[in-house]
Amino acid sequence: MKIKNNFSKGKRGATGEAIVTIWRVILVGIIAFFIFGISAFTYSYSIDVRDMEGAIMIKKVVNCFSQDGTLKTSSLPKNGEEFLFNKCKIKGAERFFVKIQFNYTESGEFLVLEQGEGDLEWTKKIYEDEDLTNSIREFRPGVSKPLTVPLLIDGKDGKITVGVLVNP
Amino acid sequence: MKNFLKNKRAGILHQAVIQIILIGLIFGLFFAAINLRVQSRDVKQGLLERQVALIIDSASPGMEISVYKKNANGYINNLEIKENRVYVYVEGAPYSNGYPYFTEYNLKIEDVGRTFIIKVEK
Repeated sequence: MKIKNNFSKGKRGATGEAIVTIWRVILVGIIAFFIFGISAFTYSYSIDVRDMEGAIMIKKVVNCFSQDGTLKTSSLPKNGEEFLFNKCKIKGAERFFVKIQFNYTESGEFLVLEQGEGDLEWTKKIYEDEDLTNSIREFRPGVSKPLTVPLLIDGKDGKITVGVLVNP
Repeated sequence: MKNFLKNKRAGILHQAVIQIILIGLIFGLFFAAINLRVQSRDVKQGLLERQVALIIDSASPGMEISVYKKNANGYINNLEIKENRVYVYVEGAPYSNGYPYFTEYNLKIEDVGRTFIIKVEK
C-alpha cells in the first residue's frame, strides 16, 4: 500500500516538474524573442537614395527638352502622352511622377505635362500644395525640389519648371 | 530509501540536462539570427546595388563602369542587370531583390578578371 502511494506521489511530482519545465522553456523563449526584437530594431537600416534619383531625373528631363537653352513648341508632346519614354527614351521610370510646367515670361503658363503612376495621387496633392510641400520636404525623401530653368521658347523669354516625386 | 534518493537525483539531473539543451537551442537560434543581422550582408548588398544603380542613372553613352569584385562591402560573386533592376550578389548573401535604375541607354556587363565592367551604349 505504501509503495503504491509513493508511486502515485512520484508520478504526480513528475507531471508537475514537466509543467514547470514547459513554462520555463516558454519564458526563456519569450526573453530570447525580446532580445532579438531589440537587436533587430537596433540594427535596422534604411538606405534611401530617392532624393538623388529625383535630382538625376530632373536633369535628364531638362536636357531632353532643351540642350542648348532653346525650345520649339512644335516639338513638345501632347498632355497625357508618355513623354519620358516616347520623347526622352528613358526606360524604367515607372516609379516616378514628373510634372513639367512651360511658361512664357510675359503671358505665363501655356502647357503642363504630367506623367506618373495613378497611385501617386496623394503625393501629387502634397506636391501641388506648396506650403505643405515646403514644410514636409525635409522629412519626406523622394520629394525633389522643383527646378526652374530659363529658356528661349520659340524665340521668346520663358522658363520650364520640372518637379519629380519618386515612389519607394 | 537509497534507491529513491538515487532515482530522484537522476530525475533532477535528467530534467536539468533537457532544460539546458532546450534553452541552449533557443538562444543558439536567436544568436545566429542576431549574428546574421550584425554582419549586415544585406545592408552591404543593398548599398552596392544603390551605388551601381545611381551610377547607371547618371551615366552617359561611351562610359565604362568598373565594379571591383573585392571591395569594402564584401566580395561580389555576381552582378546582373535585368528588367531595369541591378542585382549584386555579395558572398554570404545569395538572394537579392535588386534595385531599379532608369536610363535611356543600353547596358552590357562583362566579367573581366577582378572586375565587372558595365558598358553604357547608345
